[in-house]
Amino acid sequence: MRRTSAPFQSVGPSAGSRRPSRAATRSSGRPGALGVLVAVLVTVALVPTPAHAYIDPASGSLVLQVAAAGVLAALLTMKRIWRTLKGLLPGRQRRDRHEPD
Amino acid sequence: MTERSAGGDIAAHPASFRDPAGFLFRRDGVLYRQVRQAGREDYERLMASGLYEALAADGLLVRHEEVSPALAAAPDACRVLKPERIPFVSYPFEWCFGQLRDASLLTLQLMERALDHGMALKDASAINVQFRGPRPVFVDTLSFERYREGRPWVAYRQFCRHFLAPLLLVSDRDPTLGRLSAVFPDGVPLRTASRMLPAASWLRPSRLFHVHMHARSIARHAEPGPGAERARRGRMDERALRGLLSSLQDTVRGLDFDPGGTEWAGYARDHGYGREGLELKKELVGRLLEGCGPGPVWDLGANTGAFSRVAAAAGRDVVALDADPGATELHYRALRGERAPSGPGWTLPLLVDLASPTAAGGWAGRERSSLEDRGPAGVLLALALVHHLAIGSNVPFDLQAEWMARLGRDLLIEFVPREDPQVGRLLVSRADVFPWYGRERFEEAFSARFELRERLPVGSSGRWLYWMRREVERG
Repeated sequence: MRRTSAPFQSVGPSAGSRRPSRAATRSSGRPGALGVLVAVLVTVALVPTPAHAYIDPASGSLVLQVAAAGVLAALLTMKRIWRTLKGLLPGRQRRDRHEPD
Repeated sequence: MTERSAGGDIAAHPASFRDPAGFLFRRDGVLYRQVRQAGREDYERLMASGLYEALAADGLLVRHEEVSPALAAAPDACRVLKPERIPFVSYPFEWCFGQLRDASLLTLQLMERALDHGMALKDASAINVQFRGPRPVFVDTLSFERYREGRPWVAYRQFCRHFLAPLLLVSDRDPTLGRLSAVFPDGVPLRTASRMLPAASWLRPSRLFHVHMHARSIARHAEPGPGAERARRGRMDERALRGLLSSLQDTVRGLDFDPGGTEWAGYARDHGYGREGLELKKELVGRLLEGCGPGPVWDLGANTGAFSRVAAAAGRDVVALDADPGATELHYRALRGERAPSGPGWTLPLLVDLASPTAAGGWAGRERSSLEDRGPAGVLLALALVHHLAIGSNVPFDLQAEWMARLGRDLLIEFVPREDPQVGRLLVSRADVFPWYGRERFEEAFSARFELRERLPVGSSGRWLYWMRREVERG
């Protein structure tokens, strides 16, 4: 599979300083980016998934997501580590002023 | 599309026909949602997994009650739901930047929380979000489906078209580009967005990936071939999917729009009649409102909402319409920031050009209602508006009166004289082809449609405030 290396938005203070979502508070005892990549490649080879949706997802949109899956997973892991580290430091958590509540 | 059956009048909702899982309909004027057999499994999972209750409790998803299946509109019903009423339906191209931004964050939040419960959003149309006052709420109960491990997000492209593209265009290019969604009801094509964004956006990883690379990937794999096959078989695990959502969230949170720079956002501070004049006008409007009949107030040309607040304080529900993205944004932000609302009702600011109000549209021209069809209003506020319509848009008084008579029953309208500095501003760069612009002609035109109830001078400003009531009921 061709991989697209997507340099994602880096995790800065603005990204990490909001209230952690429910997802972010879950433990991160799961395989890292490399493990994910291997798992994805293996499953891609093994299991065909029928794409059924009532809207057209657009092939290129799915291809892009799959191609960047490893990077996306790795970045999420980095963000969670960053948030955990920040959580250990004394300080405030700023809430986004526009956030729906 | 109305048919008569034993149970009363049934009308299919003109915008609810795409999703095989179910559809909306009205029976005797009440809105219901029929869950079809095709949507049964996902609906039951939504209810049984605890996701529905969690989202509804947090005000993120509209509540519904299950009613008798006998109320179904078509034979293959497995459930009939009666959703909580949304007081005023609005469309994404009528939202200011902040409203679209909040709606997009709500959609992403819902997708994340759906994943927590083993479900996912199968679509990400902006129209699935509505506003109760300044709070966005997700209204499509049937958008949730079982999450299938390994699947990419089928609604990723739709999310980028409906939310990310217009937000980026407003944030990075120009505030008026939010209106592009009116031209593209299924969202701004990513190729269009990619071409319109500034060159510097290629250097921003979020724009590069979600718009530029996304648009190119869609174009490259549009035809049947190895790409389509790869898409069909491609898998990404849940962590990668959450990574995608997290990246979209960070991107949207990083967007901002400075409302100070638009035409009318400074008007409230700079309206030419001083703080005293403003306070007096508020007092007069409040007093006249007491005599008006019931129903929501439509504030036409609401600016940042000074008089919408007067109506809200008088216990009214308010739809605040203005054409200026900055003024509407400031109004919305002020409402979002309020700890306690100024009245018991709701206020919904919307971006609508009153010289070209929202027309009906979509499939068969009926999917979306015109502004007028979402009325009538109980009371129209038209303060400091007639001179803009008359001189700014060349709309004669009699046409203004005819239009307003179709929109609402009571009318609180202000006449701004030719000598007013605001009228002078409108005439500064153009020939004065408005010899008819005067109070006498104004009263004559409006008297043809309305009965004059009261007429008050606004201090010494030369402006006049009128309370009028439509004479003949709309037949």
